[in-house]
Amino acid sequence: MAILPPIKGDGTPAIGVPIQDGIPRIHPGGQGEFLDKIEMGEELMEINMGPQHPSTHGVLRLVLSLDGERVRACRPDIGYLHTGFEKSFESHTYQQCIPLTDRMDYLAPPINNLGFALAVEKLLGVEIPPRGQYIRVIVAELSRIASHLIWLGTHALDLGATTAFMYCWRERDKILDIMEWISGVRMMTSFIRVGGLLADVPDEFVPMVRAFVAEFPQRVDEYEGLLTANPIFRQRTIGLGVLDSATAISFGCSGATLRGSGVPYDVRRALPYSSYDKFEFDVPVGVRGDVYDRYLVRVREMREACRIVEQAVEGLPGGPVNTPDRKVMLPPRAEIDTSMESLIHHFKISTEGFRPPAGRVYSAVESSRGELGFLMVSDGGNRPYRCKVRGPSFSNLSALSYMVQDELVADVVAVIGSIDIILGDVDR
Amino acid sequence: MSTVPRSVRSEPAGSVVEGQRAVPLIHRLVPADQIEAVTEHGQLTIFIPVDRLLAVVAALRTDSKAAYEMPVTMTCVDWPERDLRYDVLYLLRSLVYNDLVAIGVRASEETEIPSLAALYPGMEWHERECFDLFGLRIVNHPNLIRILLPDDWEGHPLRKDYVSFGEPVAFTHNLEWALSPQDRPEYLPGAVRGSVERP
Repeated sequence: MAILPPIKGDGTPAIGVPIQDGIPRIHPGGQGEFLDKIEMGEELMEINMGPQHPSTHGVLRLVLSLDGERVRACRPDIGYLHTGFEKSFESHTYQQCIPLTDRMDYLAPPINNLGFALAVEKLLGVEIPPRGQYIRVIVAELSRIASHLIWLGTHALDLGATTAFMYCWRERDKILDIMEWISGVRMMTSFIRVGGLLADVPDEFVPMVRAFVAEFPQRVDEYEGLLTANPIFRQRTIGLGVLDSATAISFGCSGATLRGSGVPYDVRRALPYSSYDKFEFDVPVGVRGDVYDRYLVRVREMREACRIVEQAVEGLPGGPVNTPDRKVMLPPRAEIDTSMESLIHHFKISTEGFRPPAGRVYSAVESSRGELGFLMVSDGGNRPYRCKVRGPSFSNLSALSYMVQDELVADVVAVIGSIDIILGDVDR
Repeated sequence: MSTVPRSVRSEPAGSVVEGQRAVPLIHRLVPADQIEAVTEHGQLTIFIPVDRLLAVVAALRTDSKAAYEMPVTMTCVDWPERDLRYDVLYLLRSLVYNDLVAIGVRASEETEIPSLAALYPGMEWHERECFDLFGLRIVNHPNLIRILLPDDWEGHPLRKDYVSFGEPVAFTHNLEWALSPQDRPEYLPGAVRGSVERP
């Protein structure tokens, strides 16, 4: 397959370059002008999109008020996937909540685990050893890549490009193989626990990640060859769904939706957690805040995530992965045979868990969709008294009505794809 | 005035507490005896009277020394044994100064909480969520309808007195489970506060 040359000479995607000459645009004008002429008089037509529409990426229902082909109003109706996680948290011990967090943003479960674990660790005043932090970073960044790959494949599929979908699945499967190797599960890994990890990684982990990291940048070149300079893709996306930076901030958008609008806010950079301050990476931003910019930002983020994984795996320190605090993490099996105290700890943690001191903390991580925050309230018991999950997709989706205002109805799917929502994260 | 709960570990000397930028602004707008500042885990939560909420948040948003422009989230913590049972928390982030502040309001079921949707469009959904799951009374909201639950849902599930594990079933040994919530003893799930005391 011939790979189209990247826009810039140095192989990196041009983030937010001005629209090049000679590329015809549909928005505004062009075909849209023609469609405006056949509008249905003064009356707006209300149509339902979803909740079973394949391009709404889950069970999102949109009520669109159409003037001809133009969207004059859009009312998202969410809640079809409301699972009551926040209520469930209140009746589970802290460690039991970890598998529940997997199910929220089900395309990048380890990042949810990490956000929850960090919030509880703040309450406990526990910090885990460097090796554990590095492995957390590797797992989180790999799952960020996996999540972005699904986004890229389905986003391209929504716009009619079928090939990218298959390519993205190929690389995602390799990441899932790594996840399976370290945790036994491909998707809902529950690998990151409060106080550390499920277990240290097996010996095969480092070579597997190295092989993936060596190969992946060329794969991103392939995807970009299919899409970045593709005139059809650019016509569909440039100038569409524009979100200016002030509006994006006032809607509470985060992640690539915010960075596509030119705001360089990344939790990993602004409030580093889990030794992210030790790695070198760029925070790409767009200039126009349209669908194409958000595409460029996410594709570049995959390259940056790959860089972080590479640094973390090369600098992976030795030592333990879990906190030595025996009140939080189970003691090693061998210790139980010789130490009465370890046996007691094992029994206490297995039966009733641990009890963080009363207090409230807000802790945020950068998920693949934006700022994933956990506001954790403890009353001194062994279960969260209240745990509010600030799902990034929830805030990002609330800006959808603004973005699709006066766009064509056929472009709504392109805008939804560019926000990269996960309904498990919206509805929780 | 600063109150730190006893259970919270004191901060190490020299550490930066998030949210300090909001303090001088709030002191200008709210009398000092009505402010309650709580520092927990390096994060500042400032409780203010509900009637000053709009003025304070508007100032926090527009003042160039604070610039809390981003609505992170709004949420609520239910403490049913208190008179003002809800701690309503607004988390606001300043991207310019990389700072996060939590503004808190104490409310009861009757307290009218002004909507911040006009200041932050992103708050509109968060307020609907709090209305949906806690039954907060939010006034001047553009579209206050349930957001996550169906329109015909009864009750507000994240309240502490909401039964979360199905219908209570009465057998011959526990006939009191079949009583209505008002007559149900307080120790049973779903009982209304102030109902029959445990014998």
